[in-house]
Amino acid sequence: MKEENNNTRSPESESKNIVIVDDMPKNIQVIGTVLQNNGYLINIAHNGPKAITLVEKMLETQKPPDLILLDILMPEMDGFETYTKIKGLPGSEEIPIIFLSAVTETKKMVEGFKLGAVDYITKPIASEELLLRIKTHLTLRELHQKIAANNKILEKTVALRTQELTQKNRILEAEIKKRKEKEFVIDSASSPIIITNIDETITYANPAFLKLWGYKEKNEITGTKFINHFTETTELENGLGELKLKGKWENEIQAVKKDGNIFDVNISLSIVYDKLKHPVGLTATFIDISQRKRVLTELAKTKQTLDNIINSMPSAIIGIDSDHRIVQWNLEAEKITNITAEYAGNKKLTDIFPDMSKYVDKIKLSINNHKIYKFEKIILDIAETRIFDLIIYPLAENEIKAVVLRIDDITKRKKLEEMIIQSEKMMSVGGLAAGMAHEINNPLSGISQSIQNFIRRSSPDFPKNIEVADACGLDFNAFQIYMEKRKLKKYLKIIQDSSDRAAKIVANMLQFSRRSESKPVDTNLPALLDKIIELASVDYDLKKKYDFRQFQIIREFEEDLAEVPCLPMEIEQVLLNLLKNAAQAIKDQKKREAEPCIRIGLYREDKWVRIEVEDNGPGMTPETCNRIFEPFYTTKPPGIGTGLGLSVSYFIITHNHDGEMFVRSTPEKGSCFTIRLPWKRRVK
Amino acid sequence: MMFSNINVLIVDDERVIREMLQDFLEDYEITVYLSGTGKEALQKLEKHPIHLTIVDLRMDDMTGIEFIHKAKINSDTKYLIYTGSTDYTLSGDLLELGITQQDVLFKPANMMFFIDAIERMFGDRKNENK
Repeated sequence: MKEENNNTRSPESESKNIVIVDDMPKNIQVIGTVLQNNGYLINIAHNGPKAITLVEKMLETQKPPDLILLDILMPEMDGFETYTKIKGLPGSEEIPIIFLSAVTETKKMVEGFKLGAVDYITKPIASEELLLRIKTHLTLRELHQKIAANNKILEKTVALRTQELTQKNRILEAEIKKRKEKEFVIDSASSPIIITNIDETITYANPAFLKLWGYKEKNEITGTKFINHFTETTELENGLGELKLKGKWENEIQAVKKDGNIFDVNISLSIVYDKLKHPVGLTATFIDISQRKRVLTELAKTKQTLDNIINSMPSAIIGIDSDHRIVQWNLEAEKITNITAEYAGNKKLTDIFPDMSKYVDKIKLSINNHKIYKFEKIILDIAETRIFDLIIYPLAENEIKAVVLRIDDITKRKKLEEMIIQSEKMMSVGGLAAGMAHEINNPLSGISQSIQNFIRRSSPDFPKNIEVADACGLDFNAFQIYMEKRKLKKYLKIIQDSSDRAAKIVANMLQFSRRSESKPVDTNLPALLDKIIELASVDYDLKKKYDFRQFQIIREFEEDLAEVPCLPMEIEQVLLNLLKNAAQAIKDQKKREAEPCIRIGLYREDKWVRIEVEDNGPGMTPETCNRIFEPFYTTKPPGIGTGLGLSVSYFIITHNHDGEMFVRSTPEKGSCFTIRLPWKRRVK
Repeated sequence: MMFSNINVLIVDDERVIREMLQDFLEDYEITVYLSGTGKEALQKLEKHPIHLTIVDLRMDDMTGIEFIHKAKINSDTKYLIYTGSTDYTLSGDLLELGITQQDVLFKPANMMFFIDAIERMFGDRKNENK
């Protein structure tokens, strides 16, 4: 404090304390006077010990001497000893001490300098020199003191700063350590993690992130915008908006690798806050879901393929679990039941498909005993006109208790089977007929020719008969009357008719074996059909039975039909037969709702030309339909039909023409016979 | 309508058939020869002047076709084929001999067809007198 005050004062120093130590009062007087006159305060000691005590006192009273003038040559204790003692006092180190010496003593001053004296003044004292030296040393001292003071302040400041720095350092070190630990943890995390600042610029990315995104160094990615590493930026931006509201956001998005490849990740964002709860950035952690996605896609694909396979099966496939709940319901099942898979799913089988109630026991057995059950040709309430096969089979996997029902609509197959059987039947009939015909025709000829002779030779129209009768004495007239009365003539007629009929049957049967020698000719079917219609309406036999003028005949011929290779005579026979049947059917119908009508249609198909003959007669039951082409099957009363007309027709179309023939009919609505002839004949 | 100057040979292995036809034709005063086999018929053809041969196709010793081919060497008889096969169609060599589909009759036939055929073949030789 004192020094500071001094600093502000002028170097004019009355207040400067100068101690004069000399054993000679004269010296003291001289020096004292000079100094006093120049404004110095003076303190006097006449010998060494007094000087020490004085300085000690002054130091104690906080008024230390600013300079000491010390005589070297003194009794009792010389100046050097005194000097050493004074310097031994605490706080005296800085007090400049100037030795007073006689000229003869100058050599001794080397010792004084060695001790640390700042200067010496030789006696006798020249006052100007004295003042100058004192002033110099006071100034020096003052400067020393100032420097020392400054040094002290500096030292203090430095110490303070050092302390501050040390503390800061310590905190930083701790933080670095903490951060390092943290980064080490994040670095070693297997999940990709990035940290951004508040601007969403990446400040940190862990190795897992770098690896997944395909970067080598952290600095490739730090400083880049977070959003640039993803494709769905709008979604991500929405996500960031949501993040600010909720503090967290998670989604599946597509990311962009360094090489531009795109892959799927699950992103989970959260906000980073500082101690004051201000947001300072984001952390994003990722899960690579591309593998999972791929597997999922693959799974979905596999499932779709499987569904496709199951759905494109022509069988209804119904999978049910051990509770009889539906787990699989394919397209065909939808078709058969008219129930969608969506509706059927997880429902009880019997609730939505009551037809299956009958099979519940077997389903249970199948589940428990791992057995397959098969039911053939069953009829379901959901589709009465159709025929099904049902197979119940357990799933192959033992652990899963479930069964699969397979339902096949075999209506068509059965029809086909029937048709094949029909064909085969025809063929065997054909073979049989060929052999039979000759054998039967001979005895038939016997009957027929005999009866012709009998009738002829009993007739009065033949002169030779009367001639022979006369020669025998027989009254031919009486004979005639007798024949009438005893119905012999009627019997003869019956024999003749019966044999004719039998002959006709045999003739028809022989057609099964007919190998037509004639080749098919390209035929204009519309013209042929017209001819047949014309023939039907003028045919005497037909006219007798049914007047074709009573029916409306609808011609429905497709125009510009190309010629079809066929045997016109046979087609004529078939169609005439169909027309006769139609006419017969209409005639047989008891109650009539619509005008009797026969439709004859001719249509073009891809590979076929289709001929239809439809009547609105009484129709047929399904049983009749099934048997209509069988040989000897007839619905007509005995004696009217041979039961061969349609089977011969069928044979002609299917065997001789490689065509198809079938019928559909609804009772009370009518029947429609369809013939299909191929545009091209197969080469046999 | 009588054909007293016409000789007919009937060749058929079925006795009833040939006899019944014989009776019928004889009512038209036709002279009828019968034969149950092809071989016998060929002999009859050599012995008698036959105008018309009615021949069955299926016989035990030969077919009607074989018979015609053998017979035509020595005889210029005309032929009617009477067959139990209802769908018989003529082969080319028979057509060359002048036999037509009209000359084929199917069993059992209305025997008037034979008279019609004879009328067609020999109409100029019939004798209305008797």
